[in-house]
Amino acid sequence: MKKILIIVTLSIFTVTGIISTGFARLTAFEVVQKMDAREDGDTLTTDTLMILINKNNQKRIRNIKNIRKDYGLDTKGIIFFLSPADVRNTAYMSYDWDDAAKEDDSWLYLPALQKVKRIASSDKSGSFMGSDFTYSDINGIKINDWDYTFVKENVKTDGFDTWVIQGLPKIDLKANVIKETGYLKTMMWIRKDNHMLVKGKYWVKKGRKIKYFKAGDIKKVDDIWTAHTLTMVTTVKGKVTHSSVLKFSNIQYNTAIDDATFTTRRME
Amino acid sequence: MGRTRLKKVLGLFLMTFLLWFTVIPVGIGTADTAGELEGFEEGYQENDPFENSDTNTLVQDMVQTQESAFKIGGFVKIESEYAYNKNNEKLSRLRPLLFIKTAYKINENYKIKAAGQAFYDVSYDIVAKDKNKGSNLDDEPYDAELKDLYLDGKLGDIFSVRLGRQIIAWGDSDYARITDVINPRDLTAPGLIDLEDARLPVAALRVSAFFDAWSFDLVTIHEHPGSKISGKGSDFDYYTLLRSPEISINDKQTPDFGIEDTGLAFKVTHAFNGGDIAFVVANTFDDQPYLSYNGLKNGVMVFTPEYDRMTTYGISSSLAKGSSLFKVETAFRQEKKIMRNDVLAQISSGIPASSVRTTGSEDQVSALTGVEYTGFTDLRLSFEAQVIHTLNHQSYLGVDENKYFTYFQATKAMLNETLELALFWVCMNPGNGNILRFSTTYDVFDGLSVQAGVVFYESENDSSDLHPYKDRDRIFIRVKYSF
Repeated sequence: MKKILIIVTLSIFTVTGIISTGFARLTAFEVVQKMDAREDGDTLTTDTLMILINKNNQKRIRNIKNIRKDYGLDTKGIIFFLSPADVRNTAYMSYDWDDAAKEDDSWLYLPALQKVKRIASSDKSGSFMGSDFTYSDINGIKINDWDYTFVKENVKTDGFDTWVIQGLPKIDLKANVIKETGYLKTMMWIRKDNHMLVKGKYWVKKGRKIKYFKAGDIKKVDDIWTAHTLTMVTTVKGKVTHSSVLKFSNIQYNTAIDDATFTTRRME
Repeated sequence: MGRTRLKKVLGLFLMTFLLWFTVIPVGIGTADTAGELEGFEEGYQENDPFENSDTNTLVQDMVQTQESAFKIGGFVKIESEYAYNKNNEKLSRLRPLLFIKTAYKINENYKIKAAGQAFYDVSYDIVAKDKNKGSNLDDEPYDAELKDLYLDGKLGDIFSVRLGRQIIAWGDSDYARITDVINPRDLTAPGLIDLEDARLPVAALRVSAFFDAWSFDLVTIHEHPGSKISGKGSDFDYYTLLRSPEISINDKQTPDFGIEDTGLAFKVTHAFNGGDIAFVVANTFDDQPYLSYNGLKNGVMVFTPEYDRMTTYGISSSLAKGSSLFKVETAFRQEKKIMRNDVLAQISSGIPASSVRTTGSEDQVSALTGVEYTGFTDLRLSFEAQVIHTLNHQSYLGVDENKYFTYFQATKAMLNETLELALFWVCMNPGNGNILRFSTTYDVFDGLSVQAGVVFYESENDSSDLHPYKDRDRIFIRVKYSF
């Protein structure tokens, strides 16, 4: 569940809007760097609709309220689960520190127990709230842990020119990267006009699954490129086993958010 | 003996199954292998599920939840439990339960919440001969209970107030009650009561203040129902060791609602990077009763469960490191009333009833350490070890000088969190018995879940608190619809 707020921000892949035309030829890593270095606002609030679809096309729906605020390079965020009934009023809060030496702080409020409980950072390869997204998808991978190469340098994706870039864990970090992300390999389609990740393909070690990511309904909100829909589909041997859709609405960047919002008191 | 061994084997099998099913596949995956990428469907253009997918248009059909000032929700649950051991085979619970909760937001700073539940246990009509309260089965035949009813208020950015019937959960332990001193527990069927149903709300006033990383809670407690215990005839009769034709135990006598019997509790919490620490001081009534002797009545010794004040000084802390959450919790309980083991001898000696001493008041230290590990994908492991040490222990006290408890829980989420496997094990050392519970919960669809499981009770030590409950094993199934 950790770092949902960052999904809604980092995963709303925003970029600076610099047009690549006219630049010297970029390396694959430089493209990924540009994708990673996005303007995403100092604060963000969204309503998120999460739809989980199993292989029989049965759907489960979660409503989430998400608030995030940056403090320099640190980020505080809180999310509230509005539905379904069995998770209503559950709240999750996290402080994500830029300083690698500091442990990220996370708390969970479980209404059934009426208790705010500190939790440890969970395995980032785990499912986020039962969805096909993992915590590493949500939080974003550490781009320096991967080697990137171009698969194709110009592919039309939904009418836009994209780079297709393959990522493999660096040899010396391989075991840790795979353990942390769950991925053996990634493939990314990155738009050339705004450096947004619009498609992805992920090779999952556990279960020999392949996951497909897609960002949709991309438009500017408060002058920040924003994907309003994210989809992740899990397949095994080419067959869809589960898929998840995140639909964002009421997206607001750079609004005033009280610091007291990010306290355990507000979770109850 | 054979039965105990069977339980052990079954428990070991369940634990092995759970761990193998969860931990091993992850562990194997950490080594580098040349053929890691073999067996996948290769080629990024093939099998693209988005080509003919309706997922992008799907969201347009979904209705988003609207927030309103008044909210109502709850659940309907059907619980069934069956005791399957020979000589005790019976349907021990079959009850529909309705739980309703409402909330009304008066304004940005104030809201009211209320929750209540009602149930009727059909198994009394099917099994039990005596419908009197607490007879034959584990809980009452029917009940309607107000759970929460409180007003929540925020006084600026610093203070908040909660007034009314409420649950105030303190402490870092998931299982033990060390600094969690406010709410009594439901002890009617150990191992069968889920933690979320275990705390019983009490009427209280809580005033909280927040200053950066510090928070302060002052609580006045105005209701002392004591922990809920099973009555005469139940498989989990709290006083089962005392039941005899020569002994009669009255209904429990709880403290009054008046100012004199108000309990007080205070907690200071400091949050720091990676952890929290809390200091607790409380003077309130012990949730566990002692028996006072009321004399002989028609040749029968009459006792009454009563409650006494106890002062608690406690510290609780948790520290997160990587995927581990370490916990420590300790409390010093001043003058806790402990039952004596020589009460019947005193009465038999013919001394006046007023001279019979049923309890000793001694200090106790309760300490716990534990760790919660979430480093395996979708698996949560939790381990806690507790000791309760009675200071100045005397031979006439009815408790061991040191009582040890260990708690282990493994919970595995599967199938995109629609299926959960859980193993819970309580071990009372040394050799005093075990409670082992295995359960699985499946979310059929949003709101509807089915839980099934089995609970084993094992004790070979006839002086153990758990010994009377051995062979009270239960299988259970619960169907819950939330709305």
